[in-house]
Amino acid sequence: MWHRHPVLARVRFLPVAAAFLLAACLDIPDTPEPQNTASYVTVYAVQKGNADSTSLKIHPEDPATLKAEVHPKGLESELNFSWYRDSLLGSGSTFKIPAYPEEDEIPNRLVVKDGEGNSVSSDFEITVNSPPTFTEDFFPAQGDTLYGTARTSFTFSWKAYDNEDASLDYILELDTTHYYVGTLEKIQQSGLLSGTHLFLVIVRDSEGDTDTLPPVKFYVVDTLEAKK
Amino acid sequence: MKFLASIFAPFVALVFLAACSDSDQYLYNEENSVALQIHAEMTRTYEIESAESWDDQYPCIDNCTPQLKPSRVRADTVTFKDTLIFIGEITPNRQAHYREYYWTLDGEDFSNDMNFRKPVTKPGYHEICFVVTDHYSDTLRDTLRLWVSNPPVLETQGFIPAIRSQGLSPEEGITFAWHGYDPDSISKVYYQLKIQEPRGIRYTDDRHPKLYTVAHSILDTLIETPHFTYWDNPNYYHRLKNLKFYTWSVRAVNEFGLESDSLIQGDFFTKGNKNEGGIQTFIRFSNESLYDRYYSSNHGKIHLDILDSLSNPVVEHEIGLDTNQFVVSPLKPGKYRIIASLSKLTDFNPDTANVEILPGEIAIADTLRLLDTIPPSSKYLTPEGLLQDIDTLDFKDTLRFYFEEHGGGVYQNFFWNGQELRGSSFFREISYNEDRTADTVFLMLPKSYRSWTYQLLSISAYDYSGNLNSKTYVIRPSLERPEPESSSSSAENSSSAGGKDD
Repeated sequence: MWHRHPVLARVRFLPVAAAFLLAACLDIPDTPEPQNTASYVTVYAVQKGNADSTSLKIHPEDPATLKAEVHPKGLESELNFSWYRDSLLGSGSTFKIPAYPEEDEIPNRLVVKDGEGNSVSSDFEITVNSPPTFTEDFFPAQGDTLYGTARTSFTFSWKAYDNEDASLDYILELDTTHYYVGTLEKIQQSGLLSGTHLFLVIVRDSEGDTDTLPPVKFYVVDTLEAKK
Repeated sequence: MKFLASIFAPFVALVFLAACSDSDQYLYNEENSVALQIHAEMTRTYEIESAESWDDQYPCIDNCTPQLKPSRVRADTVTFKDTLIFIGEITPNRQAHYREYYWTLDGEDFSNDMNFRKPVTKPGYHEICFVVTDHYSDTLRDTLRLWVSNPPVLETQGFIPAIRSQGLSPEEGITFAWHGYDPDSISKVYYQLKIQEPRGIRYTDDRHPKLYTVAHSILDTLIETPHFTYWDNPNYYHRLKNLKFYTWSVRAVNEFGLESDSLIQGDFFTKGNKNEGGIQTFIRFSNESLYDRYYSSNHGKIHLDILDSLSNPVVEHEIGLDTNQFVVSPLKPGKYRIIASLSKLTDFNPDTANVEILPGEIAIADTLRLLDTIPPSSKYLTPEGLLQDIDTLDFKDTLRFYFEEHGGGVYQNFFWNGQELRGSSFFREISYNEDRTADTVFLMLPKSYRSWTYQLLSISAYDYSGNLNSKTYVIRPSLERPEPESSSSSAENSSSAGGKDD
């Protein structure tokens, strides 16, 4: 009578099972190689140390730098950057815009290429905006004295100019009260008691650039009080 | 047994390996199943007004009136006043096997109905999700997006011109500026600007403490900007005049028609020449209902005298009760005294105010308060029409009382032995004299009020300024005193008269 050894029986089966297992797992894919191509590129403007990546706005008075940022990061050294406006204006991951630039000196397209011919591009528009500026034409002037009562309507006027905007928004600050006066450049307001007062005006253009009229100190003398 | 195990073990391993290497045949086959799909929509109403264009017409046959389909949307901007209809659909209908469905609003339970009507009142952005759990416990979702608009905000501080501003010139342009905005930044805000010439001011409640009675509407316009400049134009039908008082108001309205909760109410004075000025004053009465009672009567005239510093009359005229605010101009700069009186309503005491006019300005005098401190008078009116100031009266079916009041209306309360008499069965007629300064009240006494004892009739008469006149009349016995042995019938008489024994 033939007796099978229990351990030998298991050992005989194991190579068969291992062979099938290995055969089934032969189609496991290789580990993917790391990606070396840029998926997208963004441009931001830097002027006087301030970076602007949303509105891409620069002031014409100062030179500015455009910087390209590729994603994923760390590939800049392997890529070629070309800045265009109709024709090629420059290359490199940064582009310098001079002060008071002409329109054709400002790129509006960046093309990034790698060594294998892959490329990504970004279209953008740089806004060149001058902030509004107050003129010296405002009333009351520094140190003026106004005569009247608390109900007298005193005139306040100011003027600002802007190279790009026809209408500007103003906020008048009279002592501690803010008045949203919109595009008005002259108002009359009462309620000023006898004493020292301050008024200043903030102007804002459509691009959000602002200028502030320095605080003007003026005096109100109550004519009724003076009579007493 | 071990032999069998050694035989079947390779087969078991084969089966496992085959499943590992060729598992496609065990994948779920969508051709053998019914795909469940869900869809969520919302609409403001099933009415035809919700259709956005005539392209949404239902097919029309045989000259019928075209019916517009209600517009169903998956994202919308609404107001908190809008009631929305939410519609959930599960397809295909017949084969659909689902375990449950419900709606959520920003993750919170919203409804368990398939279709339902409900408002979303909380302003802001919301996500309304239709959730269905199918037979296999898979969850399907479809999300709607909703903006609920807030009413616009109008700041009632920091506006131009400030209240009671003086010296504004229509020729040089009067500027108005305020601050309003849409808190959600999703809708355009408009402003309704009114400039009015007020005749008077009536005080109503806390929300609208001042309500101007308007003489003229100078301007009523809807503008997009929170500022405005009024320039005088000779072609205007109503123009701003020099040295006058005007009111202005602004309310913000967004494009959904929602109005701001707040309202700016301001006023100003227009400019005059350097050698001219004016006076403004307000008149208040102790009886604020005077206007309602006398506005159309000659009695409702306020007599106004303005005297200069030498007490010479400068202005003398009468104004109506609805003109409880007035401006007198032009007047030369200097000191003046104003005297106001109600010449026909003599209970009101005249009041005076002193004021000084500055060049080019309107001086605001203290409010003149015309007070009535005199209570109404009451007298008994005999059947012959004679007025008697007596205290004891005979019992009569009808007693007449005469009330006189020269400061507005009067109302009376009658008490029979302390119990108030009410109802039309007691008071048949109340007549006014022509100038409405006197009332006659007919008091009808039922026979059951007759008594063999003295009765008390008390009358309280108030005028509309709150002054009180109380008087108590003694009514003589009107029945024979019953004999002592008939005590039961006397008690009956006493109780039926509702009175008390003296």
